[in-house]
Amino acid sequence: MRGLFIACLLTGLATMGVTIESGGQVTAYDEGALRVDAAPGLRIVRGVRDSVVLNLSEFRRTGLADLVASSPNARAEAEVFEKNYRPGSLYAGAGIALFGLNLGLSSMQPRPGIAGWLIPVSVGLIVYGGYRLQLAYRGLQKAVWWYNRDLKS
Amino acid sequence: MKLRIMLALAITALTAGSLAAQTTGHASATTRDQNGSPTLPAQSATKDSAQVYDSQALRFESRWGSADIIRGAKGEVIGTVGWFREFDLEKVLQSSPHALTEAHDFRVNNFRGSLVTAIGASLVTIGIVVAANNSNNASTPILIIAGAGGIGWGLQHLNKSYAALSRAVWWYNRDLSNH
Repeated sequence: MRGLFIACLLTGLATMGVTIESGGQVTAYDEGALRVDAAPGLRIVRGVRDSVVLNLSEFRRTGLADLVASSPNARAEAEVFEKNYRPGSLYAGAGIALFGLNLGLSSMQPRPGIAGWLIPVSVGLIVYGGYRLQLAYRGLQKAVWWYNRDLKS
Repeated sequence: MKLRIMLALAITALTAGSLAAQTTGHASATTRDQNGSPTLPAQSATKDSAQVYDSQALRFESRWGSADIIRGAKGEVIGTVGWFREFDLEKVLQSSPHALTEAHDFRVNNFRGSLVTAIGASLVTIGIVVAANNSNNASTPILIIAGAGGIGWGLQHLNKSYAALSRAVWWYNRDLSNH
């Protein structure tokens, strides 16, 4: 009788286990879907719990392509992000630094001659860096979209 | 007595397992056959879900201070938000309560951020112009510092707003797949 009881108990528990396992597919999006979080800093979070899976650094390779490698389309878009994010950040950062330098020089009397070309150079760097960053962000959003899409197929 | 208790426990365990299977739904119960490969109804459901996602799921792409809201794999632009744009994002996301809440946060923070950033940028520009004209004006550093502060505060709110937009789109796409 005890054997029958244990058998029934194990069957019930096994049924519950299988149910939970298969139920994970229904909630694959809840558990695995990625999202770009913009504050503080750029990072990738996963699922409804918002667990941080990747911090996107401006100064080194981020590893986004590896994170979304299970989806070929997402990986291709992640490469676009990787290719543009660092250069974009560096150009825009250099432009902002030069702009700040120009502000500092403009308060000096007499004004140094270098200040004349600092503004156009800094604006050019900011615009070019911004353009590269936009390409990067588009790639990032598309990568996340494709990754989440392929979670369902 | 012990026998009855054991039987009751055994039946309870079986019933619990059975109930759990029912409440999880037919899709999960019929997801895989004995070989572990997806069965036809599960394949069909997955295909439908992917098709719905392909045609309906949203994303956004930033574009010089604004963001295009894009639907589906074909990349149809359905509107542009940010920088004083009037696109009614909440109407688009109304089918998902969570997304609607986040869209509201986006609207509030984006308006504040855009307004204060624009004012800050104007103050900085005026300060630079005044300084460039070699005017010995005491207000110049005040304008530049106040403007930079405004830009910083505004950008922080813009950042918050795009985080909320990202969450809104995530929830919308999530609820899309559950329908």
